[in-house]
Amino acid sequence: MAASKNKNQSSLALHKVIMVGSGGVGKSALTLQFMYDEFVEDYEPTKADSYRKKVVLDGEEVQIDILDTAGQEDYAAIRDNYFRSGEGFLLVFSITEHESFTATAEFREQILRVKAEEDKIPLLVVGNKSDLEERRQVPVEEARTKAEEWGVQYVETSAKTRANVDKVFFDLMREIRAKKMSENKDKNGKKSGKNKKSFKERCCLL
Amino acid sequence: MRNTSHIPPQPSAHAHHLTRCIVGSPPLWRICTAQPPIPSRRRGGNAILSARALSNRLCPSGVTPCCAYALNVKRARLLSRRDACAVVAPDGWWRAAGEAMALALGESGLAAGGGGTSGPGASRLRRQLELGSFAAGEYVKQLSQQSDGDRDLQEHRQRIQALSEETAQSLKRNVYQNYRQFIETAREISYLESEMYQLSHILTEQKGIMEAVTQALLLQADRDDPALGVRRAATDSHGNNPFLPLSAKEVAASEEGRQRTLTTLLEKVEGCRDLLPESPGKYLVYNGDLVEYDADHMAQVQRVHAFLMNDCLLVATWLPNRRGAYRYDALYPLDGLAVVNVKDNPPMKDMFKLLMFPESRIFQAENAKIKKEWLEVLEETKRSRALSEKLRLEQEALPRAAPPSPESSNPFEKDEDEVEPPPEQEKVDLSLEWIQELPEDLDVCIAQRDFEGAVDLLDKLNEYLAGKPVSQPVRELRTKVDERVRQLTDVLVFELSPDRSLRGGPRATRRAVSQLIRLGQSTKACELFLKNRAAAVHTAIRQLRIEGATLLYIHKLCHVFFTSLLETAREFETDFAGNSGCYSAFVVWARSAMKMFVDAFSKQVFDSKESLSTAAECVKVAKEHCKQLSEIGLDLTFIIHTLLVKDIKGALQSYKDIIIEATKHRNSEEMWRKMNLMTPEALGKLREEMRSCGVCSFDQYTGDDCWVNLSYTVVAFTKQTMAFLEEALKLYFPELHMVLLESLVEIILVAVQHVDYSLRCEQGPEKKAFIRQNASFLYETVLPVIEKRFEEGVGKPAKQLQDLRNPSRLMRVNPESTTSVV
Repeated sequence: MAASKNKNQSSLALHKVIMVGSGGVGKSALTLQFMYDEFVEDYEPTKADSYRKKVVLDGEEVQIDILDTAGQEDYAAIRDNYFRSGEGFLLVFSITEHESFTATAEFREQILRVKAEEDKIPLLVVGNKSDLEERRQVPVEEARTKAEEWGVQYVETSAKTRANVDKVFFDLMREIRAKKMSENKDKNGKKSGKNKKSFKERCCLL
Repeated sequence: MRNTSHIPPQPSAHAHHLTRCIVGSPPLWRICTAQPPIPSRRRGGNAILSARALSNRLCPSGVTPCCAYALNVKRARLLSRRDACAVVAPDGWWRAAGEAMALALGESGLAAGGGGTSGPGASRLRRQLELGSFAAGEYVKQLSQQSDGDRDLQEHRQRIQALSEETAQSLKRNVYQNYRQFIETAREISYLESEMYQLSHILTEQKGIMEAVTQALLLQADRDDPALGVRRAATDSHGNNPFLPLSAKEVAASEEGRQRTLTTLLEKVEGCRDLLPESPGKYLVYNGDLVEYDADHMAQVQRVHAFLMNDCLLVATWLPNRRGAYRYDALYPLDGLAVVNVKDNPPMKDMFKLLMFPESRIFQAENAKIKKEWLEVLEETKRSRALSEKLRLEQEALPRAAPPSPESSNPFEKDEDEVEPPPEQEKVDLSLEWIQELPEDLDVCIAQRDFEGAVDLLDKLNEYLAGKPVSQPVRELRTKVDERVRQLTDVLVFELSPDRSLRGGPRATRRAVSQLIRLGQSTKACELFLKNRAAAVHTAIRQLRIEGATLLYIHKLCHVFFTSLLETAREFETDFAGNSGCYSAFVVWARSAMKMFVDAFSKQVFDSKESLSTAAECVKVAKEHCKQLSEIGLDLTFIIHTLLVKDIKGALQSYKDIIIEATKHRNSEEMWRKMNLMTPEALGKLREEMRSCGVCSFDQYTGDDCWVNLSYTVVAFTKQTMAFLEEALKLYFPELHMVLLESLVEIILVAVQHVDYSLRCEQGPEKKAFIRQNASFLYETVLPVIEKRFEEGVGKPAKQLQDLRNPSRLMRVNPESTTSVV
């Protein structure tokens, strides 16, 4: 029984998502809302937390691994290590704080630098705190234009009302899945080619 | 009766053993009583306890009376036993001892009952002995009364003996059992001890953390005022920071303590010693057991023990079968190590993740509290590490920023100044892999005796660092590398030391020598090379066996010496081609080597009084070899001359003396008769000899058949003198000119004066004519030939020899010549 469960667990696809953004934009709130359907009002800076959950993505059971990073992390080297471990990124800012929006560009740069060897990185720009419309500082258009410029999707969410919370995570997982599938295909294609080649080489050696 | 008195001491000795056991080790006794109960156990136990109390009362040290008793039992074997024990112990003690024995027998009986070795008779006897009222004396008396004969007593004795053996067996068994238990207890104690040790470790660590926190707080305060911070840090390092509530001594002591804990801990981890440089500032912050999981599938992987140092995290795996020992697994520097708290979500519990690209590892702590501790201490350590790093950089940047003068009017310089502070590290990039691994690679090269590889590496580094500014990291690297260079030099020096094998000729040293030169140690290399060669030459000379003819030996000697000299010279030229300064050293060396050679040469040729012809031949051989050296531009002929001149002079003179002696001896027996050679063949031979000497007109003086119209003395003299001259000319070099000439003159004078004197003394006309003939031969044939040969050999005429033919001179010396006849 336990063995079969284990097997199940290990055979499930695992998608690693990383929450990126300035401090206090609601990365943890989004994560907690997604994970436990709860909204935590009081703010406590995160260091780095990792969550894992089984979800059903388009009828397929998968696992999501969310790394909730510290917006305040001072050390680039450590942040690099965070980013390297992820497969997809939710680039979060708060629509009530323009600074957090401008910071996304910087974060994106860093992600691109760390993941330089990959051509397309699954990434969503997330404008959080959409329930605080009256305090909005970042116009939707501005954010959307930026996202288009980067060639990514822009979604506004509210961790408080759970608006679009599931959507951002599931959309990102779909992107990750799509990327993995295309990579697999590539790899398989390449692999067979490679195999042939290595086989040839071996022949030569013999 | 003699038999009866013989038996009892044996059981009593066992009783004594038992008592001693009891007295000596109470714990054993306690375990003894835990054995299965026996009928008289209670009483026996009491008795033994009382015996113990008694003996304690008798002698506080416990064992002494028993020992004394044992001795006395042995001594008093033939005495009545009661008397014997009366010597040392009062009656009561003895009784108690007896009872103790009874108990022991009881136990053994129990064991024997199981084994079934003793019959009903034995059990009766046992019961008897077990009785509380058993009195040994009484028993013996009864026994001796009842028994009818020797045989019965013998049987009885055997029975008792069997009983005593069983008792001894069971005692032994008990002792073993107890010993096992004792060992187990001891093991348990040692475990406890190690756990206590770990506890104390944890305490020290906690203390360390507290201190680190204080320091970090202080540093944080300092950050607001960098200048103050630097100053404070400086005082910090001296340990008398007034803001720290620790005295300097305490700080130093705690530092030392940390160091020690780290060292002891690291001793437990296999394979980490070389990976962890013992940097003075390093100390252990935290450590603990963790379980590693597979990051993707959450399957348990292995048990690990993690050591958090102030600047790195060491992960070690458990070694199976060895308690408290680990094997090195990985080492992560703290800067850049990302720690992630893994939220509990079944099956994940109390876990945290370490991200260190490309690795990501997930660990489980024992419980939530420990996990929290790990996360906190990691965070804290990372922060203080980063702070101290920052401070260090600031400190380094400070003196660096000072030198460029602010008044500098050059705008370019100013620009540079602005850019300067951060890129210090970038300017001299030491993070290249090969530079990072350079010291280790050097070690490997040295260990593998790949000296070329090591020097290549050094050259590469020097090339890389050439023209680069000397910053702190570069200096650190330099010191590391310099250490290796020293090692390398030592190894090379050892390679060249004369104690090493001298085989392989000078080429064998080339490797070490050329690497030393590349290291810039050409003087040392030169010195060592020459020393090595000197030793080699010396050994080669000494290894030559002195056997057979001297000339043969000299041939071999010259061959060996000059060959190695030549080889050395050639090798020297190859190795030190670019270091012309070393050539003088070589010349000096060659001179000393030559001296060594001449010593060996002279010892053989001159000290052993070899004939002049041999000596001349030997010297000629040496000279020829010496000439070959001039082919490579090394002329040592003058050196060999200077070194040999004394010996050759001596040889010439001593040979001259021999000739004079011989001539005088012949002269004294002079008869002035014609010489008869007996056979024409002998005459032909003599003629041949004379001709080869250069005396061509000898035929004028030969008669018919076998007669020579000359005196024997004159002929002999001629032969000897001509031989001497030939040999001496072979030896000749300008320094010998005078010696040779004087010797010749002296020799000739002896003969000339003899003829002169005989001519004057002889009265008979026939004889006088004969003498005159001899004289004319001497004057007109021999002397000119000598003169001619001398001139040919030396290259200039000798006036002294011409003077000899001058009659006036003859006349002048004549009067003296009368004394020349002995």
